[in-house]
Amino acid sequence: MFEMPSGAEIQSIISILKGGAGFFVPEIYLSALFMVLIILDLVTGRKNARFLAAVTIAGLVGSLYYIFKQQAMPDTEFFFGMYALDRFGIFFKYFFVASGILAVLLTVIDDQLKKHESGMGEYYALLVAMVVGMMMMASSTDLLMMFLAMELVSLSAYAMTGYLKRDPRSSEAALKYLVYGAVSSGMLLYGFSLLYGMTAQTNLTRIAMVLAAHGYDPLVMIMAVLLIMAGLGYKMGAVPFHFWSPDVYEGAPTPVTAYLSVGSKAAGFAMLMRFFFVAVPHGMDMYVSPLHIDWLMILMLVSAASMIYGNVVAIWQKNVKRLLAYSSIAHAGYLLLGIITMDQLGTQSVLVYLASYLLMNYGAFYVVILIANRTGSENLDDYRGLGKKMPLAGAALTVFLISLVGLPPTFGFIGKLMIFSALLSKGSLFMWLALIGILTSVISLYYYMLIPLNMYLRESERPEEGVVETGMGAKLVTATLMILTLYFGLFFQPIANYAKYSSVLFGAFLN
Amino acid sequence: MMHSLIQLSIAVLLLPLLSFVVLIFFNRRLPRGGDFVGLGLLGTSLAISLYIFWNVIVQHYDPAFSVAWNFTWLDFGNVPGVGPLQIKMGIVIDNLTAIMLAMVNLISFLVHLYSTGYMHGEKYYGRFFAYLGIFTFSMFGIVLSDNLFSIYIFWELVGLSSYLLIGFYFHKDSAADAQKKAFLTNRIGDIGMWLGILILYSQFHTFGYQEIFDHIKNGDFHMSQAWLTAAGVLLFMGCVGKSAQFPLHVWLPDAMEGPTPVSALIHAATMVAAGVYFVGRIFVILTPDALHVIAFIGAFTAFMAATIAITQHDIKRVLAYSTVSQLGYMVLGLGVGAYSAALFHLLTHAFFKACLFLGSGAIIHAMHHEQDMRWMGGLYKKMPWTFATFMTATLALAGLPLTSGFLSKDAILAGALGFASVEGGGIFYLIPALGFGAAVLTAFYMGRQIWLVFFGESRTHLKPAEEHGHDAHAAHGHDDHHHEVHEVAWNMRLPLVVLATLSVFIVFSPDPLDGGKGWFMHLIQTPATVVASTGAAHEGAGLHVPEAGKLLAEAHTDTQHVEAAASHEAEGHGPVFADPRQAEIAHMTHENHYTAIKLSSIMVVIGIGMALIFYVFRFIDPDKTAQAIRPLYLYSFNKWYWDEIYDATFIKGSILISKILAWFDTNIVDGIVNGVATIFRKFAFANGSFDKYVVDGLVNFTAFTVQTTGAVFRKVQTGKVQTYLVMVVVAVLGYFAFYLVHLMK
Repeated sequence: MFEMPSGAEIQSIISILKGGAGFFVPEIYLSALFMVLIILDLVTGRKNARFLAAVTIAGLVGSLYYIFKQQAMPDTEFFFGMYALDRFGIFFKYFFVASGILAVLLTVIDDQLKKHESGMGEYYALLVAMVVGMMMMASSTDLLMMFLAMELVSLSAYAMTGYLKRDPRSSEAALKYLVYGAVSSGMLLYGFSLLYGMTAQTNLTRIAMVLAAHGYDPLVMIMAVLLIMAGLGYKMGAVPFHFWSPDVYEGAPTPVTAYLSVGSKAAGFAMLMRFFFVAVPHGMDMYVSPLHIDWLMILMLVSAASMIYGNVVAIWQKNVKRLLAYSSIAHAGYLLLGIITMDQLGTQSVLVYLASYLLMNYGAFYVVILIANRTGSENLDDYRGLGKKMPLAGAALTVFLISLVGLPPTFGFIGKLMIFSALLSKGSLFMWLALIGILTSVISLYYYMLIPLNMYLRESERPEEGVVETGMGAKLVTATLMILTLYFGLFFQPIANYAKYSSVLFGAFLN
Repeated sequence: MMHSLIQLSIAVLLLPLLSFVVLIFFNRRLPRGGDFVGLGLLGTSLAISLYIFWNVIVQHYDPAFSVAWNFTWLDFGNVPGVGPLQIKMGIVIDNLTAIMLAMVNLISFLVHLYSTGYMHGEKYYGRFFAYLGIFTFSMFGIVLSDNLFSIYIFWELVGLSSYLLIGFYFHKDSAADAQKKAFLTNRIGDIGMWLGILILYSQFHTFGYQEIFDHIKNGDFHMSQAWLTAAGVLLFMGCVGKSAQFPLHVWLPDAMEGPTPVSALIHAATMVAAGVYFVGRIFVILTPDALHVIAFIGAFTAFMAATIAITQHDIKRVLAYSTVSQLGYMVLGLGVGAYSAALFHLLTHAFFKACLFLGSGAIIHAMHHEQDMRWMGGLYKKMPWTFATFMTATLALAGLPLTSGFLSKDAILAGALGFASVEGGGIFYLIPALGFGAAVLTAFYMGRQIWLVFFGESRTHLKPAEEHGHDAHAAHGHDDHHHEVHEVAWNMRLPLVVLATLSVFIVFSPDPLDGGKGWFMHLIQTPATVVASTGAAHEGAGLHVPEAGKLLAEAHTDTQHVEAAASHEAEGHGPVFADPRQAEIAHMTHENHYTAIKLSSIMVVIGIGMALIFYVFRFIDPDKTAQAIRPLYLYSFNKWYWDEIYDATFIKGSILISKILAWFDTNIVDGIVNGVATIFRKFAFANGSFDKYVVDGLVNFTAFTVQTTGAVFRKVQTGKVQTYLVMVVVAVLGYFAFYLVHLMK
């Protein structure tokens, strides 16, 4: 039974916590920011949205400094092996902070949220909380910690999805998300418990060691992996765990949609990589097992299904937000291709692809918001003639869509190129997956290009409107994202190098 | 650490550029078109230039003075097939640079000042000063460059600014034509120059003067000596274009369409001298053969241009041909090895010719844009200042003793005589002969000009009416009375006085008869050639190797000569050359100094005498003489028909070739293309049918399949969360069943 720890034991626990805190500074800092935002909201009154946004951005930018300082620290596990500090985690910390900053930028211009009557205080606080949660998802090395982190992200996300209280679509989406998320979390937890039952360990590295040393029942193992996959697949939005995403993406405020489609998806991938690369035996040399190819088979099927389903269904969408939701399902499929290769090149390519996805998806949503502010809808038909009325936004959206298709000279092309070359470097084993990837990319060309088609080649129903002003700041952000998408399409070497540097996970056995 | 002089010279270089940038963008917003910006900045840079001049020339007073600085501008790394490719930029300041810098800056400043009067009331007044700024910047660049690459850049920039300024009155067809002509003609020379640069670069992989000189000195030039000669002649082509030497001289007289201050600054004093300056810079790598080419071209140009100048009516055209002629002298001087004399003439000519042009500008200004000397006359009473300064400069140009022109021209002619006697061949005596011939003509046409413009009765009323009407519109917004002639204002008079003062001998030498005793000849001494001399003599001198060799051998064994050379050195006339040919020429030049003085004085007297006979005393009526020798008169008046010859050969020839090519294009090439196109059209039709029925059919089928699949999948997304969850559970169980089956096997 549970024994009361002695004074000395408590002392040692406290000193371990104190020691670990030194490696936990960005998370602590952002938690403080979370509380500051709540207090500031209470203190400053109603019309404080811009002020809070500014504080949030400043706070997030400030956290970059602490993340940067971590780069000099050695790889380590702390808090009793619950949490890791490694290059992989640091890459994702940067990624999530950038994702948070962009989400704030999207929020600032969104008219729907601007009109929201009960202020924006909790919104920004939730946004920051989600950044913390995602960081923890990427860095947790313990089943319990992983679950907690994922719940932190999910709970924040539910609240943000339903933030437009008077909008029935928003509320409906939040409720669906909550119910769906609860079931998925339950399945994840079920899988974790099976794993714990087999090994009596919660630390990923220890689990791997025990499994290697004592063997395991393949049936239980496959059940556990499947259930965990269901939980993670829900976060990644991969088929067949994706059902929530079209409804939620459509109903949520657009900035939240963008945030979920980039941030929480990437967090799911980070966790998937750490979990499978570290914990599950994949038999390359140390853990020879008849099952190693089987769990890869799960990933392969999920990936193929996501690519096909996401792209094919996107063809039918008339709502641009929903279209992007399906396209984000397809992108989950492409990202999985990089994980399937199980090597450093694959991991590197996933990181590069995520970086490109961050730019182009936020960029696309940014322009969608600008257009929705003007036309009041996200319908494809309302995009007619917008190329002339909003020249910069139109050009930028075209660039983002070209990048999403994966055509040169954009960053998206580099991402796809690296994924496919990682896949094909494994020989003919994954040839069929690569083929599906390329064919479905061709399909995606069709529906992505519907948008520029409407913008440029079809006449507006209200041609008398002149050029629409979007404001200086919005222009600046649009242009910056567009230029970066093109810039990294040409000069991708620094990012590729950094991704390569970051593709080493603490405790993973990648060859 | 940069030498302080380098830092100062960078300031000098950039100030006119700043003036350009400010004025080109803001001239309309600034009061007075912003002329004070140009004046102020040029004044500042003039102060700095004069400080550099004072520091280098007066304080150091050392023939060997030189400071250099450079940096790597572009580094291409190791280029495959070329090797390491680096382009450096740099500045070198020696005596020549310091003198040129001060001269260009002084004249540029004076022209700025003068233009505030002359260009007053012009529509594009501010833009004019902007152009002057960029010209001055480019000219400084040429002067300061320490390598062929950057000098080429500035060379082109100078060409551009010259183009802009010649066409300043671009609404006039003649100006637009002249600017095109100048630009294209210069381009021909520049291509030659660039080829020359490339020959040197291909051998040494560097553009730096000093590095190239060192390489040649060390014998690193691996191709035959003929290539070095070719490089020298090609580089000289840049000078032929820019310094208006035959056969590319035709642009300079037409360039007089530009405003007169521009003619003074660019087309008399500075830019056209850049060619001479450039040849001076690369002087040491010129082989004897290349020098012979240069000498003959210079001599021919000097004489030919002088014969044209004697019959022209336009006051500026006379001066333009005189400029071509004087540039010919400088080139001749370089060709014969009288390096310091040529550069000395460059300097003295710059001052007195600028003075003449600005004086002619003052006259044109006062005469309300009348340029034809036939309708002038009697101006000396009305414009005493202009007359006095114009007269001084004329005497200098004619080469009368007590003027600066006398000192430098004599030095060149002495060099030519010395050269001819060393080379020995009769043909080489043609060079001094042409030089002295040109001297007679110079004195004659300047005498004619002075008389027609300043003396006699005013002939304004004689001008035919239709020409009057033609010129009337050229008067730009002056509200004073048309036929009143006044002395010009102080801002135009001051430059004249300064320049005239600088045309007096005492500025350059204490001895009115010998420039060799002055500071210039002490500081600028002929540099020792780096071309291997014996090799050059053997390979280059060709036919007369034996004589030349014998002569050189004599020169060395003859103790008298050696002593003479030694005493020559002791007198401070220059170094003893390691190269026997150079030593011999230097010695013979010295020997011929007094012969040259005597001869050229006689020539000047003859020339002035002829002018007096024709125009002052009218012993002979010039018009009747012209009738008597009509073919010769017309030959001169029509400028030796060069323009017509070029038109008939090069221009008509190019048009003919282009017509032939156009015919070939229309009938042959298009025929082939059309034939091929017909074949392809037939093929495309067949291809199109296949596309339409087979390929499109497959594509449509695929699209149909994809759409149907999507439509089916879409049905799954019902919007009911219960259904979703059921499906997730079904999916997980489905996977599990799959594995279960798999494990059972």
